[in-house]
Amino acid sequence: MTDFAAALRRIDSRLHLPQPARSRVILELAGDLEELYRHYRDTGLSEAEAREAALADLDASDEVLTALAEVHASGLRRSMDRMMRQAEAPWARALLLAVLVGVVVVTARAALTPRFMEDAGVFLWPVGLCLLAGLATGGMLLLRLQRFDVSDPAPAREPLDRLALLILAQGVIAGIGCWVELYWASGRVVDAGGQLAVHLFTWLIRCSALLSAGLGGALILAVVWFFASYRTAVIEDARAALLLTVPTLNDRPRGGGGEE
Amino acid sequence: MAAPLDSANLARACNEALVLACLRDGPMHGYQIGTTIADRGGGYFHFKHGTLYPILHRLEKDGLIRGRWSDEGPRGRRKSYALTRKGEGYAREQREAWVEFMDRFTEVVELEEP
Repeated sequence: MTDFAAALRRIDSRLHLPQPARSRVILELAGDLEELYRHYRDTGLSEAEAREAALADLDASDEVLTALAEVHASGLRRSMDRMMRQAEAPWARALLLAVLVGVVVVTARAALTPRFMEDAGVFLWPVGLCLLAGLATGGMLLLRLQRFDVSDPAPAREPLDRLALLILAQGVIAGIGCWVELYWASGRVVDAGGQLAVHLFTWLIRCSALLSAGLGGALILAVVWFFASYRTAVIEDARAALLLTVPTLNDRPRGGGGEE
Repeated sequence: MAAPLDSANLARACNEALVLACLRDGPMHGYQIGTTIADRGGGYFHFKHGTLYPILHRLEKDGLIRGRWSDEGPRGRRKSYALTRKGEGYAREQREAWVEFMDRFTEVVELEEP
């Protein structure tokens, strides 16, 4: 086997795809590189020449790798990207910030009442854990993006996908919690008998507390996601512009070295 | 009459049609598709092998071709592509569309000759 490891490692570091798609692409490229190498060897090239020709023919340019990443991007990522593009206007960002502040204030006021945790029930814990994990992920991501330099490798989009999943998880857990609480409340009605109104209202209070926590938390994380996505897109655009304007080593005139 | 080609994405449609036409002969590896197009095209369609992967993966995602991994002994694992039934129909439609396109194109170009 020819050693294309270094070239494949370089491609791997520039290929912004989640696993296992990335490994599959690398495996495919490795196989075809090997075949291209054999093909060039059969035409009479030396080992070094064949190796160089195979690598040149592969053309793992940024454009190709971006196109590959786009093909493999999930539907969730594509729809999230579309939504994020609509929030580029300054007024849209200001509105989102106002929503974030409003939701934080309202949710915090509700959550800080003494009865809230008792009212929301056991499903509040996974919802709260998702919120904490999302805040940690979003906070670290925003911090990293803020310190980002345009000459660094492009920021990975995986943390954004993780954040999107946590947003979804909060809503789903809150919804499931309501159904399970209804089932438990029904059981209590059957067991106790004649307490229908009490159990029904207890369930309603539990549902509203749980949904307030779940949907409020999801909205907070969604706004964080919007800001992180926006910042990521700005960096990606800046990097693309840099690639188009800064001459690479291959663009520079060869030989001589001196200007005449 | 064949469905008109999307003239805004002519290059993409052309590359897809070339790949699909190659696969009509049977399953092929990515590099084989590239070399076959280069050989048959007489130098007109020499595109780098890397540009093939986004096309192949998009066609695979759309269910027009199917990729299969095979263990080729000392040569290692290789991925080959074959047309699906849906892809065969699409390739036929594409061929008709390109024939129609070429006819119209020739007609326009000839009419505009001084």
